[in-house]
Amino acid sequence: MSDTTIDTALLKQVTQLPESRNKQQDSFAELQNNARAKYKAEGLPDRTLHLWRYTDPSQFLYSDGSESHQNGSAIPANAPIASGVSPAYDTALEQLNAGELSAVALDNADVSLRIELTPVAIKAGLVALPLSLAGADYSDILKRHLATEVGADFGKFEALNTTLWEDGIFIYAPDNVRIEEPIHLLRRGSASSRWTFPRTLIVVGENSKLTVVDEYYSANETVAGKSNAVVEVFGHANSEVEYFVLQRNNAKTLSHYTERTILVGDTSKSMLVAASFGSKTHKANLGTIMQGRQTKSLQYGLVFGSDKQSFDHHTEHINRGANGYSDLDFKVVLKDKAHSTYTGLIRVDENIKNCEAYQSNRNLLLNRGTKAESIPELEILCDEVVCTHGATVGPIDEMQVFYLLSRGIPRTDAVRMIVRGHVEPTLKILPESLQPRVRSYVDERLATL
Amino acid sequence: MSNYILQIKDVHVEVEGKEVVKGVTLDIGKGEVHALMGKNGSGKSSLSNAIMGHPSYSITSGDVLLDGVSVLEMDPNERSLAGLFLAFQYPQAVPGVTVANFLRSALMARRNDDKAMRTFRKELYAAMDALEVDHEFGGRYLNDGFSGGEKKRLEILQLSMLKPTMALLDETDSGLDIDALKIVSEGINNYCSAENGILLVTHYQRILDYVKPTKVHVMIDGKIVKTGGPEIALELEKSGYESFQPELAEVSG
Amino acid sequence: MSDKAQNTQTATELPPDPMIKGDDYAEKYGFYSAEAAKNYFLKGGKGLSHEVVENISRIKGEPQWMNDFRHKSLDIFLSKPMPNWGDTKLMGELDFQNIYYYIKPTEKSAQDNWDDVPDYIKNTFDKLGIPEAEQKFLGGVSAQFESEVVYHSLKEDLAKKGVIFLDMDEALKQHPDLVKKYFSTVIPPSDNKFAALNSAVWSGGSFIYVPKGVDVGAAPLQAYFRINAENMGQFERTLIIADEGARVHYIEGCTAPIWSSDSLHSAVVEVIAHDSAYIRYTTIQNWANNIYNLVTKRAVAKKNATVEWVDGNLGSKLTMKFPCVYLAEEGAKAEILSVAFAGTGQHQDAGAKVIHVAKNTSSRITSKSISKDKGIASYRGMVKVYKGAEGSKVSVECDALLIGSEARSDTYPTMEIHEDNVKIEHEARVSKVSEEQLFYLTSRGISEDDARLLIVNGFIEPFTKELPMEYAVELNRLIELEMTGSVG
Repeated sequence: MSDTTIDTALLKQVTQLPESRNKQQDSFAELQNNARAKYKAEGLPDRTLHLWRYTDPSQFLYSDGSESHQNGSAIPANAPIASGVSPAYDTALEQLNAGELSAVALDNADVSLRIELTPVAIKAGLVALPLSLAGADYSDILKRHLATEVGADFGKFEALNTTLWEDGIFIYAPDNVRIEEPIHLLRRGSASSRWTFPRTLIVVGENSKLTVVDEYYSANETVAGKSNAVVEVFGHANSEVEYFVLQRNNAKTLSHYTERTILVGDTSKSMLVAASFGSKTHKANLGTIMQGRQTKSLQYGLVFGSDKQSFDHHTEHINRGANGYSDLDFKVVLKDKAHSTYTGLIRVDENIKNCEAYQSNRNLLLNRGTKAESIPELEILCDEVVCTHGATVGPIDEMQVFYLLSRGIPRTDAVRMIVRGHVEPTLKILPESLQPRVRSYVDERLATL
Repeated sequence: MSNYILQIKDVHVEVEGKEVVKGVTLDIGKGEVHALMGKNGSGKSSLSNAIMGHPSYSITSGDVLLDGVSVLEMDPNERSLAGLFLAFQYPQAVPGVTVANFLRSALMARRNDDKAMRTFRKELYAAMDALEVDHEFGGRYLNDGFSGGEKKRLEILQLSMLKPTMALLDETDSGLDIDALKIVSEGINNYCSAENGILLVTHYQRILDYVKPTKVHVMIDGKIVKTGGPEIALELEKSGYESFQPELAEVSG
Repeated sequence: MSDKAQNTQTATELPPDPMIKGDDYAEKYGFYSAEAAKNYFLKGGKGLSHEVVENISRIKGEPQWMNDFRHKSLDIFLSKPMPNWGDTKLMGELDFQNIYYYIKPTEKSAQDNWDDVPDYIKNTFDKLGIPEAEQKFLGGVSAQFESEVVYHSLKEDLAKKGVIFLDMDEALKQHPDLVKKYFSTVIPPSDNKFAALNSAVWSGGSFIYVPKGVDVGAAPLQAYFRINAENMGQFERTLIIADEGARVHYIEGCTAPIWSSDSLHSAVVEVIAHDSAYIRYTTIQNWANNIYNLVTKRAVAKKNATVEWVDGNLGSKLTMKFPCVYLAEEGAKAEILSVAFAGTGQHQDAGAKVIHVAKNTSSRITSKSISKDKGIASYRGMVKVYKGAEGSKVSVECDALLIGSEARSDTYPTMEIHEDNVKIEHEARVSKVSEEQLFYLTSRGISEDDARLLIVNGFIEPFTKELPMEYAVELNRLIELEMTGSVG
């Protein structure tokens, strides 16, 4: 891969966080100073409102002392990435070599950010760079997109990410660049229990197409990781973007994640799939703002909680353009003592003509002791709309179980089949490069029924 | 060991605290096809569901023996493995589970052997062809969005693949047009052998033109009021269930 | 509406404010009785203080525990912030110091003969058709004017069976122990700011006790609440207890004149259904569009008991009302059925709460809302299933109809489920009147306005069919008024 690999291993600014790192990233200094001021000025989110009713926001406050940063810096900056550092990375590289992926990024919190592209993707015009290097050639693109939606003013914890991101990933498809094979981003957490702040900006130009897989995982099974990630996706006129986020941190991790897709241009399309398996507490806020006319947005969610995991997902569909179509299907499966909150908002702004918006949230509770909250909200400010939402919470349908039993299938297998069936429509949407692994995460959890 | 495959002994069934089957006794021997006829609400579907072990139907007294062994203590899947099969009147949809995966699991529960499963696809396609079911069905979700006729064909497809010794067919003929009825009946006839038995639960005489019953039972208000040969079905067709009503009065009086 | 001349005789000094509601409302409900106002027996000053609370309690000659309760509640009210959710803008415009907290319209307490009610008050209720309805089909009637109930009656046969139907003040005098046993047990003053306010300054309202096994169901008991004065605050307090196996249907109606400045209606309603009892509570609220209607309603359903809230919300400037049923014991059932109509200048923030605490409890919520022109209708709901409430079933259905491009509909349902063996279903739909339906009806020669009205009446049919016939007819007429009123 020698001549086709862009190796951008970087020193991460981990030594003197948070005060001095802006000197090293001058281009973002103003942005980050502003965000720092906002983070400090803003109080904790109001817990009486839906968004934070079920998760304590104080746990996401920046809490690291300097010693944990030194832990981070103890790892040599340009240490080579050993093969076997993570099986997922090895698999991704294999898929890259086989041409099944167009780019792979390893964002290793303690070491470096390394991005590799296939020659085909480079030739087609795909840009994948660390944010710190993107400024040289793409300063205008950055200026027009970076932190314009999820920045200092979005919320306290998003301001925190904007202040402290430790380099980020910039994926850009200029106009008329259609990349069919997915780009796979691997976000490996720190081996020390310090906060990490992954940041992603995806910009899809006019008539362009991108598919991105964004995977978050822990450095090992024992570290109590802390992650605060922000992702912004922009779709220009007639573009198509598919973004898959897979969160499989270890069960000790605390994770906060905010994503916004902005369909800026007319007839742009987006698909967002969030699969959450990991973390002790996972707070995620995902949304699509449909600004252009005749845009289409699909969102899918899949949560599988076990043990004492706590998930809190919020989704939004904001319709600001005429003739928009949005659909959301959010599925939750809980076992042991897992807890899930789902809040979903559909908002149709004033004077928006002919829009359709659908939302469905299904919660399957596999045993007593699980808890589910569902708050599907509609805010409809004009009349030219068709909007529906539905939500259900309950155990596995005993009639389905009986049907399978009557064919000789044992109860546990029947339950597994039904749960797999419940999540199957979502799994089927995942890129083929990802499906087998995500299926195995479902099966792992079903193994101990 | 008796010669009977299925013996229903003075079975009483309750659903939601209400008695819907009020003492039914019925013996089905090897190679026999019994038709159980009755109007809606007569208790015939309740009886077949209760025999299969449906959680909403409880057998409050009496016994059901399969090959001389009581099934009442068995879970539904154990009853299935023991050789009992119920073709449902309203087959349950299980979204996300494909027909092929479901059938593979059902066969695995019987064979529990990867080698024996090698022929699965061939068997499935053969069964599908026999019932004029498109192979594409294997990839569809179980009963999800199926038409009434498709569901019934799929039930008979399962019958032909799982090869039970005793089949309870609950209103398998309802909702079928004449062509589909012929195909389904052929499927049932192909399954018939000297070694197994069929209880055909139906409302109409129509299917009995294609599947010849050994015996016909008429059920009214939770009880069998008359048993005889195929001629009873014709009599029913001609004069309706009302003509059997007085006999009920005699029986219960 | 048929006899305009007669209306204008008694209804004088109508403040001209055609923007708020159609002329028809003014004619039929929005009249103001200046004569009654002239004859008020007692009208204190505006504003709220411990002194005001003390005066109300003293005038009523209340026992000490109630006096203490009022003062304690006022402290809670003063210490609680305004809600930080809902229509905070409209709530912010509410000036608690610009409200009359107590007006006693007549020296006498509630009469049981209409002839003994002073004419200047009776005229109002005559026009609203209350005595007529009483004769026709009601089992009992209570009529409240400003702060006090001026008339109440109960059919003799019901009284003989031990049914108690009194205004709350009278109940406190005649049945002090019974009132004390149940009062504020379902809704403590600390529940919310407006419950605290009502607890401090409550006056009037109904007290109903139905003894074991007595069925009042066939002939509903009705209360009618009338606000007359400008800047009035009406704070009735209602408590309904159905003992084991008892059945009762209670209906309340409310109207007010149209003023250009705001009045406040803030009731507290507590309902207790003992084992196997059945209570239906029907509200047809038709407030003028300057009324803040901030009401707390909650019921407790014990073993196998059923509580039904049938709640029709028309009129008012801002309504915040979320009838609740606490399913406390096994087999309890709740049904909450509501309709809200919001036109320009109105926000109907209504909904339902069901709290499942015990096994095999079930609830069904059906909400229908119509937002027209610049109206805002919100559904705010809470379904909570506690661990241990196995076998609970919940079904929630919210339908919203939008008429006009500036209409707004919000849906905020919350489901907190802490038990796995349950069946919870929620569905919501928002849409406008379908062009296909309109086309179909107009193609049969029906005018577009009539077609739209037909569709709207069809939309709320699941609600109207639950009303006694007289009320269903009245509701359809009210909807017609709303539909033909202001033009958006």
